[in-house]
Amino acid sequence: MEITFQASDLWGILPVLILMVFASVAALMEVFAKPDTSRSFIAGFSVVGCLLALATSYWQWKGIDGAFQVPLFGKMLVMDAFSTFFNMIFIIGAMLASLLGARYLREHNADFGEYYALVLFSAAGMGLMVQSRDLIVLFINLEIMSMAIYVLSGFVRKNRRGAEAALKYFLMGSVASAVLLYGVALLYGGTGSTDLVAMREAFNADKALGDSIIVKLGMVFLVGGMAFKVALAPFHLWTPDVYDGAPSPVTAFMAAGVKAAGFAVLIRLFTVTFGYDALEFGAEGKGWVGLFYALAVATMFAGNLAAIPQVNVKRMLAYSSVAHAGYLVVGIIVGAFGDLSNQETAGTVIGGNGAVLYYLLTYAFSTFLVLGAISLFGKDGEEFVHLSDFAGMGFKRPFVGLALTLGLLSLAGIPPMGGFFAKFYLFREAMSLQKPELMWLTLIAIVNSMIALYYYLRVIVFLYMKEPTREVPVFESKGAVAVLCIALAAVLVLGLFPDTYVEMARRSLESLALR
Amino acid sequence: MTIGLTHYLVLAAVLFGIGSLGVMVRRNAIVVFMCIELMLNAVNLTFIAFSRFRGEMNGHVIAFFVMAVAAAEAAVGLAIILNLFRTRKSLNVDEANLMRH
Repeated sequence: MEITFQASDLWGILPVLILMVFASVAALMEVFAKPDTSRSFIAGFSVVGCLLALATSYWQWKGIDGAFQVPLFGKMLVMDAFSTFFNMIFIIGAMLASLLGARYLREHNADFGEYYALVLFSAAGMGLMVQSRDLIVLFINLEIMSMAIYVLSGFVRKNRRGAEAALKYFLMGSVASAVLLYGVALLYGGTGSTDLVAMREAFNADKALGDSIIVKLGMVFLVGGMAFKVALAPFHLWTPDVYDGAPSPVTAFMAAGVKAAGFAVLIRLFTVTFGYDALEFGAEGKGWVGLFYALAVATMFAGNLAAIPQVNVKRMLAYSSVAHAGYLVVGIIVGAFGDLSNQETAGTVIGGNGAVLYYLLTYAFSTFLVLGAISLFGKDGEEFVHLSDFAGMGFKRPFVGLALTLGLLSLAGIPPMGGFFAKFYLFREAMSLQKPELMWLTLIAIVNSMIALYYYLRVIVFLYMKEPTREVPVFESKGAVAVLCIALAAVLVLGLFPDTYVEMARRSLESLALR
Repeated sequence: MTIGLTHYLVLAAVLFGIGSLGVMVRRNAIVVFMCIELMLNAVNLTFIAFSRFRGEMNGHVIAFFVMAVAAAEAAVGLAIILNLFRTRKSLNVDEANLMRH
């Protein structure tokens, strides 16, 4: 393996580089800042960094030829429309998390600049993870992302729930990383490479390879590790505790960013390496699809049924995020059956994977809308997230109540919010292949979305139709208002004018479909 | 008897199994963390065995990367465990149950 390194390779990872430089400087700013002063200026600095990275990312998006991958650093990384699309999601997520954090941290007596550094580092890790073409590079970036999130989830140090959340996430996450890495090791043994394309070639050259126990185990472990990161049942048990214990801005960043990064990696893995022809392993010809059927059904039910009895809204949202991961797996299965190359690409036909991309985009904004509103409820290390704490808030704080309501409606998939089209495209793509097993899966997904209506609407009922029972501290924050405005605008635009963004998702996938 | 690839793979699998079993049954956070390190080292052994028997260097290089990641993980992990100890004066992971309803 010869690794060539050119200065021009740095252009391909420019958005990530900007994030890393700003993260390092933000960490230094904390060191040199006067003690006991507000750290809002670091939040501003971090937002500037995100805007700069977003601009470069957009510039890359405009400049890149749709159906083209640029290999970087001796084929360790790539830059394509797919990675750029996700990079933009991560950067926006980091920006919104920084905006939410400024006031939140001050209210909870944890106003330290490291927060912004960690958010930016984590976003940089996500970006590189999606750009990885080699499984080892992927693993390292997964760790960069995860380690920053482990620390962030326990960021309010005096809060015992936060400390617990961090410990649980760290221990479980490290086990998942080890399992994933074991999978990589076995696949390396089976195929002789950790490069995604070289592995694909090995599979194509030797059809019997898919039958070898080493490769099969390797794939199961790899999928298991990723399933943990995106919270698929039965690897989702950490989700409620971590989402509940972590500070709300971090929870939002986790739900929007980590989930998107995980699914992006799964799509790249199964499109580039294990996709379509290589997928039909050996005699059974089933490959990993059967495994994913089980994961999808289990995840949808596990998430939705567990969310119903929750009276803690953040726990409810955690289980709902599990359910959303289940819908997304349906998209990945559909993507495995038919990619863009063997379908009509005209109009809004985007394939299962395209629907997943659109779904992740709307889901990111919807979670920021909901959790951004929820992050305002609390003081001094304690968050007020019991269902009854929201009683009457729709009238007391009309804007916050409205944002929360519309965010929940978007998560529930009610028009005209973005979440409706996300589900619509996903289910339509699943139906369009006209396979009976996919019809069943879609039916299960639709039934699940109806179950989900109950627990989403219940929060809205509390917001507008119940009397408050106790005094709940809700703080004012300009940063949070900005976040809510951005997310609200995005969710409405995604719901009312989806075509531009569907086209974006389609274009991202085209860069992937070729190889 | 010559020691072949299979022996190394079985040894690594056993180590990995011991590690994951330890994660499940041990209750002290530090010991759980040590078991995770054991799992990572089992993976390293797998990488190096494959690399050696394929006659190439890639797996050796990967092992170094994994060691670096494990070191970083130790730094973060011990800080998190220390913070938990500060808030509740105990390292038992079963007592970390504030959020169980």
